[in-house]
Amino acid sequence: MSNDRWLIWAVAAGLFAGIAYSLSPLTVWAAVAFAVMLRAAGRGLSPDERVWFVRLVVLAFVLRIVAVAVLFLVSPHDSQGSGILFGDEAYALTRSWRMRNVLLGVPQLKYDYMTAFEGYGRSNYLWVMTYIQMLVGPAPYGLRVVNTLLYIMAVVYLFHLTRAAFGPAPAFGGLVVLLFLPTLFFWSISLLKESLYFVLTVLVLAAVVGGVRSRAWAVRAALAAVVVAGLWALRDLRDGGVVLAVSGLALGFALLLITRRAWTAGVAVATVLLALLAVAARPALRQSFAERIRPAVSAHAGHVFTVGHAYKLMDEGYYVNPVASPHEFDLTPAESARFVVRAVVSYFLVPLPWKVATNGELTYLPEHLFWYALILLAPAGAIAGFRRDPLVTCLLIAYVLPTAAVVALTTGNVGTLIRHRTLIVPYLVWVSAVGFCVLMRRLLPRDGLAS
Amino acid sequence: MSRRAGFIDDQGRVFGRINLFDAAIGLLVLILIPLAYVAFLLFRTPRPRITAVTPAQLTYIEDRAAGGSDLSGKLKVFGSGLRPVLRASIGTQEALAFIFESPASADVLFGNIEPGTHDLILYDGVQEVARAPHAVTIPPKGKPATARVRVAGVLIDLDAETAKALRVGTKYPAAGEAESVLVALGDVMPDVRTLSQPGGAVEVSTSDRWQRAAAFIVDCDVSASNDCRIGSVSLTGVGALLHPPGAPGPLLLRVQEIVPATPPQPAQVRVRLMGPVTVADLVRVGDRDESAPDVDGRAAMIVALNGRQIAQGDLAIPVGRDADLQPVSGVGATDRVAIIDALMTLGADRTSTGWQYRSHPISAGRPLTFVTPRYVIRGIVQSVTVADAAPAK
Repeated sequence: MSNDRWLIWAVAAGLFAGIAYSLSPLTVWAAVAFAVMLRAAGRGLSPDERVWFVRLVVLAFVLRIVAVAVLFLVSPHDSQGSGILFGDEAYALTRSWRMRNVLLGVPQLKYDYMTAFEGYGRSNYLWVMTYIQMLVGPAPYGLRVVNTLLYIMAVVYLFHLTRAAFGPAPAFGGLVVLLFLPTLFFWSISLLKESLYFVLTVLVLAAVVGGVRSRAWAVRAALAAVVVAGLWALRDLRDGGVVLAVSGLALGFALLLITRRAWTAGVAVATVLLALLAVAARPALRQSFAERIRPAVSAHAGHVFTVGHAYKLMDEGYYVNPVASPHEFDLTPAESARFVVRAVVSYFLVPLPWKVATNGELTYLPEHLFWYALILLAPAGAIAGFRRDPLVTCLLIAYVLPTAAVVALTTGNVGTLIRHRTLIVPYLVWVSAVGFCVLMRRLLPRDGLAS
Repeated sequence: MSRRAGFIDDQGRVFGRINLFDAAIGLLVLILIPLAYVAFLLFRTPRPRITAVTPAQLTYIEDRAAGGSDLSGKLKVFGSGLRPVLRASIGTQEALAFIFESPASADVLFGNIEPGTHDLILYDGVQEVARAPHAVTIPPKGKPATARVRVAGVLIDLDAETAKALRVGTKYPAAGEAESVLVALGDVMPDVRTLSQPGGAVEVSTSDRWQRAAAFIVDCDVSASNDCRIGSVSLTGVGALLHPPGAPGPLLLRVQEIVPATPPQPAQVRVRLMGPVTVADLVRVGDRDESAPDVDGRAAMIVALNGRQIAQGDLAIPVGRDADLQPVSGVGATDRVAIIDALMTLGADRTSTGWQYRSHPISAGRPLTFVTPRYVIRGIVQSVTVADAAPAK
């Protein structure tokens, strides 16, 4: 290229960067961080893979930037509703502005101080939003780009983890799903804490896998520090976030241990069956089981009586009092068992396609069918994945089990179920992608595969 | 000729016509003017403007926003360009809250503002951004609605001399218009304090201090819903400590009950008491209900017992309490239950819906709980006869 062209491009780039930085400094910083991340993430891939990887990730990032820009253009600015996708966004955003004003010493009213520091909804994420906006000023749209970056970083982490474990095909399959699935797309550009929660949980998972695999003690120590730091950051991001992450990891290692040998698996299955028999046979244990799930029953009933499309897990007679206290749900052991079974089945199936009740659910239907496909492919993926990399497979499956159990047992509203069920998709999708590859290998003729 | 020569010639002119520097400036201006205009349209922060301010009704929701501050009123502010974190003041006094609804409307909550006409001013940080002159009128404060009540409780933390010197009929202050009158007194007793804890409460004795049950007639402010206040003390609060208005320093009443100041009507009440046989055996003629201090002039007393029967019945005991102090479960058994018809005399107050005994409505079919230090027994009211009273509406 001639010097003139260089000059013209350099001036144009400078002009564009200047304008972009004036419009949204945070977007420029996020774009720079994205470029650095992309360069680092492309290492270790074959040239063909790198091309596709870069194309997909850049496309995902650009689409999200475009979506944020559309939100900006269609929203009334300086309004609490500006570019709001989910209700909680407005609250988090204005609360972070109030916290920023406190830190900057900008005078506010008593109500503003109360809102800034009230216990409800308090989390590290609000401080992250506040400190970022301390640096760059109020940034309702720039923060969306930061969340996009965090989300894509988490997906790329998982891509590398699963590519090493299962090979390129399932990894690229999972990558495409996570980058372009509509629900996750909108979550990733939201002002909610989901992106930060996702990247932190992935960081913990990746550090644990890396620590187990590494032979160097210094690396192990560094990764252990990453795990501790990740858990510390998770501690108030979501109720029970640390418990869910740690119990998921513990469950994963337990699964790994008991599936290592045939006899250990046999002993584990027998132990579980014996435990179930013991609960069924001893009235005291049955009663204890019924009492232990009572808080979950109460939470479920609370969901059922909220506005929206509800689904029921208890016998019909219990849905009488909208403000019942937990002690009113005195389920018998048999009723408790039915509650648990219905919870598990509903977690996978609700809303049934022929019982769709709202336009929102109708819009979600294609993605819901995709969810069914993920569930159907998961068992085959789990078996194949276990043969290829037992550690990663066990951890991916077990990491989501505690979250799934809590959501299944406490939810009674279809919208809430869909929202919380999406939390496990970023982990489940890789296992299902392995299942899809196995299925394709079985269905397609070998010539087709070769081509 | 090279491409360079075709685009910029040896004189530094673009296409041989315009000076490169001039062309760059021209291009920049051509690009920047529309860009600046578009940016102005997109990014300008519209200046807040107030078009109307109207008083609005307070609801319980605003109580939360006030966060315990005295909340006097709410204004609805209409306009344009309103933003979530603006600050409002009424005259020179800050509002309690500016609650953003949309760029066109917001609520302003305020506390005690001096009567008069004030400007409503909006600030962005410290910068005034909008003002509505003379938009807020605070009317002069009238005398708050008051009610005369009889406050019963226990005077605590008394030294022996003060405890013995108390006399029924004493007016406080001693000179001038009485603010409170001591109308009933119990015996002098050693002072005890109740210490609450998660599982319940314990009582401990204080050394060298004394207490006396007492009742005062006072006027309280009833302008707030469901409340009766003297200064900052709410008499409806559990265990409120009241310094009787006008009384000298050391008097402090632990409030246990408030009843109307007017004397009660004497009433005869027939109650069918029911309870375990062993409890029913403790019930005696002459027993007095001590569910509230016996200085309120209303305590029920058993004057006759008859018609004792024994029947099979279900007795249930609640077990355990959850965080809301609701029983979490119970145990029950079939047992022998005693049924006694008791005739009681008590002081009843007329209310707009009927007769009332202390803080409980009393009429045929309603439950009544009779409390003594030895037992607690419950029953169903069979009939109420009030002497020389017109039928309750």
